Formats: sequence, C-alpha cells, structure tokens
Amino acid sequence: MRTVGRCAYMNGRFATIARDLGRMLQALGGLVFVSILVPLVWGEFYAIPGLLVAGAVPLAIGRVLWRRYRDAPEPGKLHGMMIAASGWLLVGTFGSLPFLLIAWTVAADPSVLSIPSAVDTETLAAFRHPTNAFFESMSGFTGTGLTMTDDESVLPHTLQWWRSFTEWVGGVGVIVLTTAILARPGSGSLTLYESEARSEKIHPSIVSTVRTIWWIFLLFTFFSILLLWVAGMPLWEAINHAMTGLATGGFSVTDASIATYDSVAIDLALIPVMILGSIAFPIHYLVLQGDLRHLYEDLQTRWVFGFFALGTLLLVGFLLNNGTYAPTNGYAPDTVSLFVGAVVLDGAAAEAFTAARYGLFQFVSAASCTGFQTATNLGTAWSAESQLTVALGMIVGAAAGSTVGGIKLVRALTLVKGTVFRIRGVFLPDSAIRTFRLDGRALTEDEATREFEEAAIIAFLWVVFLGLGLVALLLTVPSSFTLENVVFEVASAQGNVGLSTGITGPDMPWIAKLALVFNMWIGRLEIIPVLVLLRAVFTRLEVYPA
Amino acid sequence: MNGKRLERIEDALVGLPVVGGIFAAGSSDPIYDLLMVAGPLLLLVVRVFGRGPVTLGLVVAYLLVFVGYVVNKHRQEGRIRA
Repeated sequence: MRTVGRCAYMNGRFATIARDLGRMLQALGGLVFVSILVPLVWGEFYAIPGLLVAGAVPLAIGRVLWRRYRDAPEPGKLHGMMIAASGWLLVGTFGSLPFLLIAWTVAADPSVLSIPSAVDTETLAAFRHPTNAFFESMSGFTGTGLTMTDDESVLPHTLQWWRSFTEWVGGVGVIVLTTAILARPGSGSLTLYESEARSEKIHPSIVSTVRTIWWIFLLFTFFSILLLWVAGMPLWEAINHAMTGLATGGFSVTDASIATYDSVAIDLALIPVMILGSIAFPIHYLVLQGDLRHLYEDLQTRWVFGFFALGTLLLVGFLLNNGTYAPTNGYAPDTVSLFVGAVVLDGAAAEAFTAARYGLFQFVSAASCTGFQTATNLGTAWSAESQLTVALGMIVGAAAGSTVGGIKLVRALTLVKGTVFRIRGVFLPDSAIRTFRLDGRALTEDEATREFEEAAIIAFLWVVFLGLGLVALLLTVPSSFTLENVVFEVASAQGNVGLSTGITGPDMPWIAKLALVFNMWIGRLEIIPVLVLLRAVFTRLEVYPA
Repeated sequence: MNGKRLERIEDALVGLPVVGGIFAAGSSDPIYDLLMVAGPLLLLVVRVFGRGPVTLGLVVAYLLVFVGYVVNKHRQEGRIRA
C-alpha cells in the first residue's frame, strides 16, 4: 500500500512538473520565433530554416506535455524547486538548437540558401559540436557569459542576438525565481510582499509581480541601450551589451569584450547598467515610485554600494602599489586625454587614472557577476592579490532578488552578523534576552536560527560544489594551467560571472565543459533546487528509498 | 499636462492591442508608459538617421527626462510625507 501510495503521489507530482515544463518549452519556442526578426532585418535568410526548426521542436514537445497534463494539480513550493531546476536544464538544452542548426546549415551550404562564404568561420564551426552548443546555451540562460567562441564579432548577427537574448531572458527568469517563486527564509529575497509594508501600490499576486518585473526590466533595457549609444557605442552593439549588461550576463558581440572600445565614456556608461542589474528589483520598483530613500535605507542596497566602493578602493590600491599601470611597464598610455582633449593627464596622474578606471570597472563587473572585461592584461599583468580581490567580488556577488550570481551579499552579511551574535552569546548568562536584527527587522530566536542556517548551508554547499568542479577540471585541463587559474575559472562559472583565465574554449575536454555547465546550473539556482530535483530523480529510479 | 489628460493617455496605452499588457503591468504612471513607448521609437529613429546632432539631442533628452522624472517624483513624495 505504501508503495502504491508513493507511486500515485510521484505520478501526480510528475504531471504537475511535466505540465509546467511544457509551458516553459512553449515559451522558449515563442522566443525563438520572435528572433526570426533578426535574420530578416540583417538579410541572413540562411538562418531562418534553422530557427524555424529550433522553435518548432520545443513548441511541439511543450504542447504535447501541456495538453496531456493540463489538469494536473497546481504546484507547491517543492514542485517549484523541481520545475525551476529541470526547466533551466531543459531550456538550456533546447536553447542550443539555434547554435547547432545554424552551424550545420552553414556547413551543409545548400545552394538554395546562397550562404556567403565569409559566414563559414571556425568560430561558427565550433557549434556543430552539440556539447559546445549546449555549453553556450546554458552559459546564456544562466547569465554566466563563459563562451565557446573564439571571436564573437564574426558570428552571424542572428547568433549574436540569440546569445544576448538568452542572457536577457535568463536574467528576468532568475529575478522572478528568487523574488516571487522560491523565496525562502534566509534566501535574502526581500520579496515584493515584504516590500508591501513600505508601499501600498505594489501588486499582491505572483502573476502581477512577475509582470511588473518584466516591465521594469524592459524600461531599464531601453534606458541602457540609449545610454550606451550616447557614450559612443554603435547601435547594434549597444542593444546587445545593454541586454547582457543589465542581465549581468556578460556576453559580448566584440572579440575583446568592452576592451575593444578602449573608451572611458563607454566604461563609465556601463557601470550604472551593471549596478542596475545588481540591485534587488523590488527596490527598483519602489525607486520608480519616487522613493529614492530605499537606495540608502535598504540594507542589501546599502551593502551593494559599500561593497563595490570598498572592493574598488582595495583593487585600485593594489594596482597602484604594484605599479601595474606605471608609465615604465608599457601597460598604460603615456598620456590620458579627457573631455575631448580639454584635460590631458601624464606621469603619475595618468597612472592613477588608469588604475582607477580599470579597478572600478573590473570590480563592479566581477561583483555584479557580469564578466565584461576592459583590462586585457588581467590574467597576466595583475598581481595575485589583485586577482584575488576580483575573485572575492565574484564569489560574494551583490543583492539577492537581482540578476547577479555568487553567494549574495545578504548571506555573507547574515553569516558575519550571525557568527558575531553566537560568539557574543557565549559571554552572556542564559537568562539574557537578546534580539538578532537584520535589515532593521528584529528576528525571533527561531527566525534568526532559520536565516543563519540557510545562509550557512548555501555557503557550505557552494564551497563543496566549487571543490567538485575543481577536481573535475584539475583532472582534465592541460597542466599548463595553474591551480589559481582553475579555482578562478570554476568560481567564475559557479558565480555566473564569466571572467576567464583562458581555460574555457572549444578545445577544452568535454568532461570539463560538462563540469562547468553543472557549476553554472547549480550556481544560478542557488544549489538547493538542483539537489531537490536530483533526490527526486534518484528516489524515482529507486537508487535509494524515499 | 494635467492629471486627467495623463490618465486618458494611460488608458489609451493600456487599451492597445498586443503591447497593452506591458503598460498594464507597469506602475500606472503615464510618464513611464510614454518613456516605454519612446524607447523603441528612438531606437528606430537612431537606426534610420544614424548618429547626428538631432538624434543625439533626442536621446540625451530622453535620458534626462527619465532621471529627472524619478528625482522629481521623489521630491514630490517627500513633500507629501512631510
């Protein structure tokens, strides 16, 4: 009886999950079909058949799943976790089809499509391998930005768009996930519902919350595109970099990321875009309502600014102390011209400005988990302490409820405050009445324990999976890469950052590619949902009893 | 623009086919809705006419209106709270 009951429960659970996965796949099909506009605008008609098939396959599978299980019960929180974990994997899998099919279309070169010979590049050819296409798609949907391309600028515009679009959609997806669907105690998700106490105009239901998140994201995207264009970026590149910058994903359409432009104005324009993506979206909503106080009164947001400022100061200090941009070593220009030549800096002033420019950009890029790069010599000329500061930024991350990865500042803060709270408690009598305060909220003993436990568990699991990825890469990548290189690469994948020491590329062993995909996947979903899914799968397969 | 006219604009935008849902999801503020409409239109203008003093001026004006409106709204809310 017990087995029968469990099977029925599992089947009910499967039906709910299958129905919602069907919806997700239908939505993915819709996104691919929308992207057909890009080859139409750019005249890349050879990409259209591939996109049609890439959209039709998830649409058809999604429709079958949805029709078959449409009467399934509504999902609970457990379903939500399993749907999120399996959905991200499934969307990443089917999202690889545009890469795979367009690459093979170009390779087959049917005469009817009149494909220009310039399109057939080694960069595109890498996507003929399913593992590379899957890696690129998962990197996009998880907002990581590690890539299998050697030179993004030679990709067809259709695939440049698809890469940016996957990051943009994945960015919204993760905000929805962390603020509306999977908000747990200690997850740091200062949800819209909590924020309701601060503003009466915030919508009470999940559906309207999700719609509002989309609305804010779209509005900010237009703002960011126009800001980058004013700063001097060409329009197509501004569209792509605004999408990936706001989603803190970091895919670029140029070969050398943002270093391509070597423009102070573009560097400075991208910093607010990345910061917008690093702040919890409920805070954005309140700010748009006219309440700017939340930018400095909300604990997480205050810490985002504080953390970015402190990290930048530390990094600039290291760069100056090590003489990384000293005039003698050839990494910095002899003179820096500002304000259309109105101000010209040289000598120590040029060195200080260059160190501040690269230090600020690279720390914000790392801590916001974007992964845009302006310092091309980061992996070679920057000292170990400078690289470590960047790595610290990408491991900690910024605000929960935003598009960033990493452990999240609020968890780091909870761990620090919780540890101090526990240690102080040792010196007080048992009868002492104490209150643990977080973000101005006085927590009960139970609430404080839950918050602290959750933060500790996530941080612990983060380190464990970092270690597993480390072992997988150390066993497979060439020995010319050092331990620091490997730690940096795995932390970058799991933190969904995308900065690379050069390990990631199409020539990487396939086991290492899959290991990094796993790190990206668990990093994006904050680990627990993936473990819940794996447990359910193993239970279903009777690998071990429930 | 007075409040009633802004409300009428808001209603018209929400009633639009296909994109009406986007405006309905927003903050019920017609200025933001106008910025939402103006964003893609400006992109189209920039695509057609390229980078020039007029297009640059229009885009800078858009950015200033956006930031200025948020700051102004904050000051108004502050007065109401006071």
